Amino acid sequence: MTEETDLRAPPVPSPGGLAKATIFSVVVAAILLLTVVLPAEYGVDPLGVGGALGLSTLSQPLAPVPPPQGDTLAPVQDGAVALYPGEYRYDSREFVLGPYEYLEYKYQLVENAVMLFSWVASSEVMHDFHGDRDGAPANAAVSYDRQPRRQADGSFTAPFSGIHGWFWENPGGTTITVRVTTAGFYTGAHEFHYDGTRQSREVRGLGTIETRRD
Amino acid sequence: MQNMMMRVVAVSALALGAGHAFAHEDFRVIGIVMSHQDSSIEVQSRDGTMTSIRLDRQTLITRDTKTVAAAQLEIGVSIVVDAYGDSTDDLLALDIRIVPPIATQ
Repeated sequence: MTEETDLRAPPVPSPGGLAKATIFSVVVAAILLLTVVLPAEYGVDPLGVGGALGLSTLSQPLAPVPPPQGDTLAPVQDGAVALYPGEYRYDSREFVLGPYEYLEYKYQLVENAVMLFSWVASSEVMHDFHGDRDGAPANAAVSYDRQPRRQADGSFTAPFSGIHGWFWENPGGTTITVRVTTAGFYTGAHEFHYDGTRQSREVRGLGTIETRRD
Repeated sequence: MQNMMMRVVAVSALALGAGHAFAHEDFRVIGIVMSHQDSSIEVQSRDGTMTSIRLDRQTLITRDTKTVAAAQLEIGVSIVVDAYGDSTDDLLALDIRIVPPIATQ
């Protein structure tokens, strides 16, 4: 006694059935496109469903960091003097870049605020001194000085409000140390790592600087 | 009617697919190739972390600034991968540089 096998071919859908299935798929895709994809990815919300579901916020450009809350140090120019509503800040950091690693370190400055800087690396690094405007997407950075360097000393006046600072990349297989010291009318600092992590850094007020009495 | 339907399908597919290109961030993964299959590699970083990274036809693979075949991504070679994705669990390689052996920690 053997088991019978059904060798009949599976039923072939009729052209009408295929057309219905195709139309159904297209309709579902179009609904998803209008209610989910366009609001979430492009901020286009023709039916208002994206706003109701909170998807529209997903299409907002990613700002590099949130704009500063509270105090801002905006200069008021009076002839040769610029006065600020607070004291300048001071910061000094040392970073270790492993082989092929990069790091960005940037300060929050409002338009026309000034910063002095000196940085030095133990070996030449790929370098880009640049800024990101508040609220602009991360890929809209403005470069001020981009070339391999081992050190730089200078002053900087922010051309727009945002975060301004350095990209340092270790181009080789040995570890490089970068030491940066700044003083200026910034309100905070941000550190961005090659692996996608980021940290906010506090900057020091003048009260932390020891006063010499000779 | 059929042409119209094809256009709708094509536009929908493009829109759905194009969404993947947005809202991603850049990541760099530095380490040693531990496995290589057709469209993905596993990389062990110096701290021991394993990261799986997808490759596609646009992934540029270089050695000494010259483009090389994906077959050069042999197990044990040191690489620097610039990729994008939502997180390190979802990365697509944009550029892969084959570099001299990186000293382990």
